[in-house]
Amino acid sequence: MPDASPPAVEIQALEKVYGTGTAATHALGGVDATLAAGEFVAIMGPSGSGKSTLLHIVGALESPTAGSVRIAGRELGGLDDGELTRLRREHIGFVFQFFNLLPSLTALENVLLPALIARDTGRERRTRARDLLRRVGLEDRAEHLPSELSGGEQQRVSIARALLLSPELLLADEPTGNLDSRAGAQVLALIRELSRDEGHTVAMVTHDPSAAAIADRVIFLRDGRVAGGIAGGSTQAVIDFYRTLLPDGEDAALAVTGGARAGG
Amino acid sequence: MALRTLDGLALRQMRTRKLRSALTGLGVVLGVGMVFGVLLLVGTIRHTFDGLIDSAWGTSDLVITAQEGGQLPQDTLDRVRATHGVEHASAMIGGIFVRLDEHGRAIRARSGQMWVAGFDPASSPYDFHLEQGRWQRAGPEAMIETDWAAQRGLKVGDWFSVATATGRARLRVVGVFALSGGASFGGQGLAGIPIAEARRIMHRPSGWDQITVRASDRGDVGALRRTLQRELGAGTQVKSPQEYGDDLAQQLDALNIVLYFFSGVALFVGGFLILNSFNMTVLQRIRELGTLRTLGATRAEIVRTVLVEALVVGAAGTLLGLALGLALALALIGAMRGFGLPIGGLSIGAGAVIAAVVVGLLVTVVAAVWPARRAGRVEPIRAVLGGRGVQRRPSPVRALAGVALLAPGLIFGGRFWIGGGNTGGALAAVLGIAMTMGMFAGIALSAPYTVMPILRLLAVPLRRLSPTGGRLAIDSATGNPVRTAATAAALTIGLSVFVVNSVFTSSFLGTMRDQIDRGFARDLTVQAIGGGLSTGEQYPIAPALREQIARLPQAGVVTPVRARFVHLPGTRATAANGFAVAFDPAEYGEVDRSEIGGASREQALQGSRAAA
Repeated sequence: MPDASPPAVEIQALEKVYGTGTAATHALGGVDATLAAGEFVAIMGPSGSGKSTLLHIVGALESPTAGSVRIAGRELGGLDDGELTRLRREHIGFVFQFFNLLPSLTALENVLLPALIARDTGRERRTRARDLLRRVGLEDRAEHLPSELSGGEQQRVSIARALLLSPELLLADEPTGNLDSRAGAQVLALIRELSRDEGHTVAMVTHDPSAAAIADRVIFLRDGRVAGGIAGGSTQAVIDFYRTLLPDGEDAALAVTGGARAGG
Repeated sequence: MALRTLDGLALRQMRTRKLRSALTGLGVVLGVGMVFGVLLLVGTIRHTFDGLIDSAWGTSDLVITAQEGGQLPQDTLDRVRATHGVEHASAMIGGIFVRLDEHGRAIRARSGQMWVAGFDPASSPYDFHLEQGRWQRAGPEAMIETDWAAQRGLKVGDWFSVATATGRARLRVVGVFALSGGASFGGQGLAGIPIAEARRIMHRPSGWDQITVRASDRGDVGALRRTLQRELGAGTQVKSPQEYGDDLAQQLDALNIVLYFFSGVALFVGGFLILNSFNMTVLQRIRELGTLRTLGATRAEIVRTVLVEALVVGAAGTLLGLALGLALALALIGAMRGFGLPIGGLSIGAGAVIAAVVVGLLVTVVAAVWPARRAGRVEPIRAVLGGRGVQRRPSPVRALAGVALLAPGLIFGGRFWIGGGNTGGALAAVLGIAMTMGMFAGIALSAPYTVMPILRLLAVPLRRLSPTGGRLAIDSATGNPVRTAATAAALTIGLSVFVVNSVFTSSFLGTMRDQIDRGFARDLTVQAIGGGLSTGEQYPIAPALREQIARLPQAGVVTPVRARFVHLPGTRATAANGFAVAFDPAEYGEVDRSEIGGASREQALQGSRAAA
């Protein structure tokens, strides 16, 4: 079927098994999902549901045991290390739970790091790096080291870094997991805003219903399989759907967490 | 500094960890410093002796001496001159005088000694250049070396006093000369005096120490050499100046091997430090390395950043090492000069600089290859996982490799250093050193297996002593066995080199002292300065001086002794392998208690008394 623009991400029958024999753990047991170009998708699920594994495989940080992942129509299976490296460099931006800034580089240099690696540190890139820092509200912090920045500021630097080379796909792994609710909300708003403005496709793993609610769509995983999906927008709708997936004992905890976050 | 490349990142990371980088580089500084210092010292010694040999015998083709430092009979000179093919021959006798200060006291330091040659200036054996005055003619006249004269403010016409084999003597400066090529005897005085005067004050009525020969056919010295050797017999040694240089180089080689070994060990330990430090850095930066991979850095680029960092550490360490080596060489040269050993000014060869730089950079980069490869193998997923679960247990293969290296290293390396196996020349030396290095590598490899049990043993008292601190220490030490073992191994190697060195030295000195204590029943030994049993060359003490000593009321038994090294007949050794002592059997038994083999002490002394 000829199509002018293939989906940003196409996941088919994806399986991931850790370990072998009796020690084997099925992290993913056949996941199918499609992310349209420009779509913002949140992935939710209880601990051990396989949501992080899924994100890592899509980002070519891990290889699947079976199944296929296509990014912008390109099959990841069969690519060698060099090709995967180029894919990560040119098409994917990452935002991590622990920010992963290089401690010896200033905020601006951290933002410029992908350009440095891509050997493309021309004036254009530098201007864009400054622009991005301004957009994440850190233009006056450009020369600060990560150790001189708060957690929220560090995560904003890391968002600017992920977007520097305008990748089609932005992958965020619990981006608010290490932030207080106010900083978390700020970070989420920035991801939403920047990706909408620049047309990035976003996949974000989170266990926070209020974070998931800002997405266009929420996919729920349980025991390594897709357990359902709803449109984003309402924290309450996310909590309600999520509750149906949980055993009885856990939903109280969710209500407290979700409530606290949503209220922030 | 604006960051433009990934290599710049490596430098930036170094700058933020200055102390770590400095300590990492310290090993290189020490290693290169030792190598460069040794190279400079050896080069300078060689250069000095080349200069001295050149100025002493620069115009000569052959040098004739008695075997093992004895004296040539008086008629040797005439026999040499009569030999066909000899164009010119000149002879000298030498001795060491001690300069006296203005109060008539001997200047005890080595700088108070002066080497004096008695020769006929009409046929000088030396390539001296007269700078002022004239050559010595007759009577108490001396021509002195220019540097020495300048240092002591002596001019033509001045008098100076010396102690000699016959007592005190006063000499007048009649000329000042320079050695050819600007060589210097390193603070030691050098003087030429008339031959008749020399015979008188050295108490050497006849004989020669050395005869130098210029051949009529300078193109074929070998034939003349064979002729002279045949003519003069086995007690005489005929050599070309080049052979003296080669002999010296050979003697230096023995010293060099030891010096090179220690510098090699210093470099090895330096490399080991780098390996260890970079390994730790890679482990600590695993999340950063993973992040770089997620940002699109290739394996090769990661490897490169580590190597660049190593190269910078190595380059800085090498530069500082050159400075250290220079200081070391200057200190050693100063020390040698203090001992009165002849050594000229520091000679810095381009070869020494190049060798030290190459060795320093090579060691650093080679040591960093393994950690760099490890860094390159860090998976992108480490950006998420960090260092969780990367800790490796030491593999049995490693232990086997360690033992495989350790065993032959111990046996062959040990044989080389202790068992006297180092007679086989350069190949044996290289092999012995390589084996020893292999042994060190073996220690490093097998360390996880030896260090951990020791650690567990140490843990018991440590926990009792300080429950919290001890526990923390043990936990962090056992947490990463490979790293702990590497650190321990580096210390082991460094310490063992130190200990072995000092044990060797002290036990050697101890043996010597025991021997002396056992054999010598005398209270005092009087001998002329510059000659002695250790050099095999003895300058005589005049009978008048001996009688003066015997007349001292404190003196009990005073007995004269002459001794020299000899070449035992029927042996194939090229160097002297015997030591002959001439003594008065009536008195010698009272001053020497050396054990005598094959006969009782009484019998031996009686036998020699009867022979006398």
